[in-house]
Amino acid sequence: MMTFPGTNGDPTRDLTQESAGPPIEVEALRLRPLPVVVRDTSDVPPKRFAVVTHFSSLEEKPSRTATVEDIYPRLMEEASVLRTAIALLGEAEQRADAAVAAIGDDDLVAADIELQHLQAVLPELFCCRSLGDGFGSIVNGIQIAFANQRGLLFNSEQVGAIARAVRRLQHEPFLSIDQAVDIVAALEDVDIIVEPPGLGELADLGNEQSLS
Amino acid sequence: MPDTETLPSGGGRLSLGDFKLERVVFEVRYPRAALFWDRAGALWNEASRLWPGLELMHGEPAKTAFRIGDEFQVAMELEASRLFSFWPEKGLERFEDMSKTLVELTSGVLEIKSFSRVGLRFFYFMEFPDRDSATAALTSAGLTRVPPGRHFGSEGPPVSFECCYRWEVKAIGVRVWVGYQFREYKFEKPPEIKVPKLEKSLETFQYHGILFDIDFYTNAPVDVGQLGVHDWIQQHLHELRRDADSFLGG
Repeated sequence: MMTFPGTNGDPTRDLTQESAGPPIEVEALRLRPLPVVVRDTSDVPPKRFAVVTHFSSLEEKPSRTATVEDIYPRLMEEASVLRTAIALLGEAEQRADAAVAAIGDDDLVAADIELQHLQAVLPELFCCRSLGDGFGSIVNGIQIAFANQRGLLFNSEQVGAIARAVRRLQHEPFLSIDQAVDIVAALEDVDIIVEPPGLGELADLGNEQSLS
Repeated sequence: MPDTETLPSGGGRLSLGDFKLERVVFEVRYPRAALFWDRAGALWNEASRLWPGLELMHGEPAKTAFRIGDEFQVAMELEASRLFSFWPEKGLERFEDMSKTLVELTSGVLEIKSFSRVGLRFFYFMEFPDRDSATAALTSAGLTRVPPGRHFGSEGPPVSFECCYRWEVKAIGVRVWVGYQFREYKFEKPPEIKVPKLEKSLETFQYHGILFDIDFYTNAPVDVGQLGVHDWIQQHLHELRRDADSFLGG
């Protein structure tokens, strides 16, 4: 017979629950070859109650989503890739928002200056791609988009899409490649070209060769 | 039974270096994922591909658990997924890799966008020859003040000790439990089985010691793309190693 104290024999019991008292031991999980009976000082017999009462030493939990700064306080205090990325994304977001505002005011020169500043941040942001493949692919996509513009100004809608992508990265720097694909697709939806220049010709060449 | 002569006698200061890291648990909780009922098979099929040697421990509609050798156990449920590592290596490299995979599997297959709680829990144990020496070590560590004199009809040194602290700052919390723990393991041999080296039908092992249990957690929802498993684990491992000795009075 194998028993798990306080778990009513359940090895999947929530070991990290916030229960008062000593934690439950699961040493028996490691000792399978022979029947094992485990007992510790936290033996709590299962009971049935008509009324469930909950006591806690904590107040209600906050419901708002955490920020990156909240979750990684130590990394945000010291020189880390995450801290650098968040700072650069903040600057990029600010530049993108300023560019949208300038386009709204018909001040295309000011918009162009803001976007040039944004573009200048991108190579350093790309150096933070160790945060994840999703991060790298979005920053890379925006970099390529600038290259494909060949100096022409994005329109307001396109700059807005870039700003949204940057904001999303700032909120979720560790997003997965699947999530990144959705964000890059949103850029393409407003006619931003995120494929590297020459890739289309290369694909056509490949198709021609395979046909011949 | 352990060689009690090599165990600490109880008067000294506590230091994390004297404890053994027995177990680490990484956990993500999420709002009830009804897709778990549809996709438990697909989930474990993919897990088997990523973690060869997976053995079923427990399977029922809302709870499944597997083990990988003696080192890891994985449990996936309707509202939480957990990875247990037993006697992990110092840098937690494999544990980190597997935790990352667990997050990707859970969020990908169950289509989870946000975790309601992310937890990282360490269990350290330090063995003592008996309860008195373990309790003496704990009371002399200065974690709380033991008031002198007679209380509740009793006096003298306490026969056991345990305490729990919790801090929460912004979205991060930490709960620390330190206390005496008695452990008893009984190996009971079924009468129909003959094990040459097992002379008695019932072998009992008893241990006394101090458990240092520290649980780091988030107390606000965390979006999947916010969770960098490597950074999350290393951040708390660093804090644990930096602060444990001063907390324990060592």
